[in-house]
Order: sequence, then C-alpha cells, then structure tokens
Amino acid sequence: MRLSVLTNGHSFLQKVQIKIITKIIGQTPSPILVLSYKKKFFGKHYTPWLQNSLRKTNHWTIGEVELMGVYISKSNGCEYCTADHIAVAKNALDESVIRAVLTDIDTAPIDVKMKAVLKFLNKLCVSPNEVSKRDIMALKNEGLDRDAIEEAIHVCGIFSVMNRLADAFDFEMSTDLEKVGEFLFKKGYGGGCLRG
Amino acid sequence: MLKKIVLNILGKGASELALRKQTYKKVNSIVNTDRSEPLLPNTLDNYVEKVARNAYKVLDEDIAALKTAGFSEDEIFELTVTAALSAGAARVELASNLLD
Repeated sequence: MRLSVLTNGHSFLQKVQIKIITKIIGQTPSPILVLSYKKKFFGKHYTPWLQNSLRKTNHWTIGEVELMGVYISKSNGCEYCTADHIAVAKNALDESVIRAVLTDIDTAPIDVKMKAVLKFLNKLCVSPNEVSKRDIMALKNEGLDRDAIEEAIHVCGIFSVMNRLADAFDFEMSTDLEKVGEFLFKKGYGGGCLRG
Repeated sequence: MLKKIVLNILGKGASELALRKQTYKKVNSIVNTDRSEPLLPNTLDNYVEKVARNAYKVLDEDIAALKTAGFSEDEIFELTVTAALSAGAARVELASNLLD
C-alpha cells in the first residue's frame, strides 16, 4: 500500500479485528483496509452500495455479476481486481469460460445477452463519452430490460471506483486467492467496512 | 444510495473542500467529455488525470510528488477516493440517463 495510514491508521477496535483476520487467512484484504479507514468519509457509505449492486440483483446471478466484475476490471487494466474476481467467479462458473471471455469475447461460450452487456460495460469503462441511446437500444434488442441494464450499470460503477483505488493505492495481491474467492462468493461484501 | 456517498465525500474532511469539489468536477468532465480544466497544483492535476484515465499507471513517485507538494496522507486518501468515486458515479449517471 502506498499510504501508510491505510495499514496502520485504523482505530484500536479495527486494529484488533485486522489482527484476527490476518491470523485466520494470512492477511487482511486491502479493500477492507481502505473501506475501514476513516469509514465515515467513504467506506461506511460505499459498502452498502457494493453489497446491493453485487449481491442483491434481481436479473443477474452472482456468477454473472462476478463475470461482469472480472471483465470491467480487465477493461480498466486492474490486475488486482481481475485476479480476485476470477477467484470469486470460479465458484459459479467454469474457469475455462472466464478465461475464454478474457481472451476473445466473440468466441467465448456465453449467451448473447451476456456478451452484449459485457461489450457495453467495456465501452462504458473505456470511452464513456461515446456511450449513447443506441447502445441501450442494442441491449434492449437482445432482450435485456431496463432494470437488468440498470443493475449492470451499477456493477460498472462499483468496479470503476474500486479498480482505481486498487491501482492508486497499490493493493497487496491476495496470498490465497482460492480462500478469498470462496469467502466472497459465500458471504458477499457487507463486511468490508470494519466496526469501530 | 450513491448520492449519499457523494454527499459524504464532498462534506467534512481533512482536505480542502474546494479542492475535493474541483477534483470531483474534473473527473466528471473527463468521463462526460474527455476534457477537463486543470487543477492546481500541477502535481495534483497529473495525479487526478492518471486516476481518472488509467489508474494502473500511478507510481510510487506520483504519491511522493504529492507529499513533496505538501499534501498529507489523509489529504491524498480523500482526494484519491474523490477522484475514484467521481469516475464511478459519472458513469452510472451518464448511462442511467440514457435508459428511458
């Protein structure tokens, strides 16, 4: 981490929790450190949006949401989030499918709706000022309704924030991706901001 | 929910509020128009441009330069969060406005 306050600037109660987490899984994931530091400024308010957008969707499965997260993170060049969310997505999807999406989305074995939404999210990441109503119409023509598109847009919003924080602060890569991935798949993101 | 997050990062903080507002506005403008007005000092402008456009290019030297320019770690934390949040919120707003 590039800012020392993000590793040693937490409250006493948070430091206790950080010690416990580190003892159990070998390290405290960097997103937890960032979301917990000065939590009233950011983490306390961002975490519910994170949990809602990635775990309370009506139109997308957890696997699909995580695949969006992987693809968005890749679009933003964020190695940390790409690796972490491949590990989460693997709990719902075959890894070969995830890798195929990252290699060539046109030939990847996913349905046309998913392909369309991933391409849209890539455009929203890379050239947002070129996104237009035509892009939305194209998604609707593939059978996606307004609410499904809106949910995907919020996934993009979530990752657009976290990808930037991961790279700007230089998040420490997870030492046990499998364990982190399984934990986030089962428990979600609601515990990202430590109490205290 | 998103509005509440934005209100908080543009509220009480260790860094100068005017600078946070300018940072938020700059990144919003980059997302919507690919252009923006420069921030002062130049060191901050360079950093915010990187966070907004390609955060993976941020280096230790960028943080060191901000510190040399007089920014504390708390200020850098807040300004980075502000820039990152603006990048996400502007995309949500932009795309959501096209839905109907």
